[in-house]
Amino acid sequence: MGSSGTLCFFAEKEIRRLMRIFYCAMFLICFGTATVLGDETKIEFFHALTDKPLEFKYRKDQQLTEAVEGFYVSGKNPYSGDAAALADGLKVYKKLCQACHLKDGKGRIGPNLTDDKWLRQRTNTDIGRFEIIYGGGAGAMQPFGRRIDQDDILKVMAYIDTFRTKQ
Amino acid sequence: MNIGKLLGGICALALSAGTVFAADAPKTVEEVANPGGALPGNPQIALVKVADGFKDPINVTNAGDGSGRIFVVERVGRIKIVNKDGSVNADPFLDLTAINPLGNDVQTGFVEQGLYSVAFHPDFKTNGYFFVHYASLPFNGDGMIVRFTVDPASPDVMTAERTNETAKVLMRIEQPWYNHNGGQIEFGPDGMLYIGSGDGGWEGDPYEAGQDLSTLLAKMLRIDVNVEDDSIPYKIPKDNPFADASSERLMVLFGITEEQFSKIKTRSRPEIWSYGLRNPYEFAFDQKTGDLFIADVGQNHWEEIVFEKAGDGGQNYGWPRMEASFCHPMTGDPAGKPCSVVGTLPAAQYPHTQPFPGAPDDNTGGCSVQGFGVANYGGMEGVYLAGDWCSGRVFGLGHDGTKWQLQEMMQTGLQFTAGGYDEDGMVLAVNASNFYLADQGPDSNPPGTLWRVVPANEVPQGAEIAEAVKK
Ligand code: HEC
Repeated sequence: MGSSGTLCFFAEKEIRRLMRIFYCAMFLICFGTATVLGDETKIEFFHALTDKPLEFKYRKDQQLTEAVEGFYVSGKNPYSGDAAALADGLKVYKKLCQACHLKDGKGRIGPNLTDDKWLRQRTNTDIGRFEIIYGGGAGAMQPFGRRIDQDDILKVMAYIDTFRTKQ
Repeated sequence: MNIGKLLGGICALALSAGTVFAADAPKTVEEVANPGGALPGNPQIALVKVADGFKDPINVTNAGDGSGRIFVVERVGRIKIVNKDGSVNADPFLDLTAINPLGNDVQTGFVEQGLYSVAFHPDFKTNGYFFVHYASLPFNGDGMIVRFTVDPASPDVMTAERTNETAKVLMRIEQPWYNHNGGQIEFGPDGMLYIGSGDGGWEGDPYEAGQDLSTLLAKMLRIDVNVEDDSIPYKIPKDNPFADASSERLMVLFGITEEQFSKIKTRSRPEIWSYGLRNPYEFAFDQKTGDLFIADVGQNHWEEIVFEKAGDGGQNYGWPRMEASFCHPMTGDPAGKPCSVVGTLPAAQYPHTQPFPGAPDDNTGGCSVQGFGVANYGGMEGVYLAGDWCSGRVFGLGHDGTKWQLQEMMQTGLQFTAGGYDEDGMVLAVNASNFYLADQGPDSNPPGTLWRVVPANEVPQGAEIAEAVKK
């Protein structure tokens, strides 16, 4: 079960090459499998830009909190809606994200985070947003895993979720 | 068919069979290239890592002295040498952070400020002259163009003493605001020094500098650094478009045509080569043809790349009347809104996420164009490569014999800042990880990398290449 995410990923790649038309359908199938991965099995993360397995290579000496360990398995952000975490997340957002995504999340240099349109394959999910914030996306969306701990990434993720619930 | 027609036909055939064509700036808005174009032969490229670990690298060049060295400009005020084998010298070639006992001589307080670029004199090998452009801290961010002279006994390191002793200030460009400082300086194929000068900053060109010939801001400048008497900073090349426009003269009113009157500009600066630019932070000459490409960073909605035929100065590129091929300011959907073009149109343009206020998101462009150089290899002929600071895209701009084509070559995770050439004429690029928050500063942001653009099928074995979005 643990490797089904990977298997599915390669299957998807194969299909993509052969028949681009089935690409979307396959993506949904693969993606569905990835999120319901076995209870104790860690989710496999991929790089938002290249779809290669995400390497956890930044800030190796950080303390992996319970929230992070839990997220590795559930793929759900435990800080979602948590008032204290949202306050911390806002601080991170102001310091590191606001310059490009703007105060209200509507975006300028970085894309709009307040709507349900997403640029990358998985960024419509917690997993995908974690992937792009930790490992980076295109251009200016650099790997923030280099600058902040993963626990703070979950907190800022919880904060940017509020842009969409506020709508 | 008469013989004349026949000959004409043969000539036309011969012309079209060869690759000789007269590329020129577009005459109409429709001719301006947008993303989605196709370069002749659909060339494929890869970015091969040359060296990394640079602190906010924001420019790169070579010395043209046969040493094979590549010079990477670090924003904080240092220049690092990359040797032919890819090793990076620990000691910087130039270190402007150490020449002033009161601290760094370079202003880096805003991310657009710093040591912008270095240019080596065409006769560097014999005279040791090289030139830098940087934001001066003592002069509150003014742009300094300074010449230094290398000590032949120490070709890889300028000591602080040597740097101070040989400094000759050519020009100080006053900078009213901390952004849009231009940056690139480069010797043209004509041996003249070209200087990319931004509009001075804020937004919307509050000085109207673009259309004001009395300021050096918002221009491409061109000066002759070869002076017999070193107490003179530089000379005005005789063929600069406004070389004599402001010289004193007796007034003659009658018997003069309007065209002749129009050449009298009593306040114009003779250093001006072309004008109406917003922030020509990067430009490059095609090493084969001498043609000039300028990556002119745009404002809220469009980025533009200007093409200037070799020697074709005196152009007005429109800013701030125009933003790319659109009238500035942009107030809404430009479609159907009459707008007369001011000046010369860019060869290409690409949109920001919002191509006009209220527009649906567009994800084909970027936010800030950073030119690399012109590739004449790998199936590319006269293709100007430029990266985007936001979207990590690399665009190729070329002429297909009929019109300009802007093709997306790849999309990477790199925040491109600039480019240049190595001694073999290969195009180089650098990327940094700095952005508009002063949280870490030019000495402590995550490091940046130097890349070489190679044809995709010529990537050396074992080379590390930049990751790109799969197509
Ligand atoms: C320097 C500018 C910049 C900064 C700072 C920045 N971003 Fe981004 N962001 C971008 C760009 C550009 C993209 C689009 C990347 C792509 O196309 O892969 C992006 C994409 C994203 C996405 C995915 C959006 C989508 O539609 O798929 C998320 C989520 C995101 N950023 C969150 C953040 C967070 C959280 C921070 C702060 C920790 C941050 N960003 C800081 C520029 C920035």
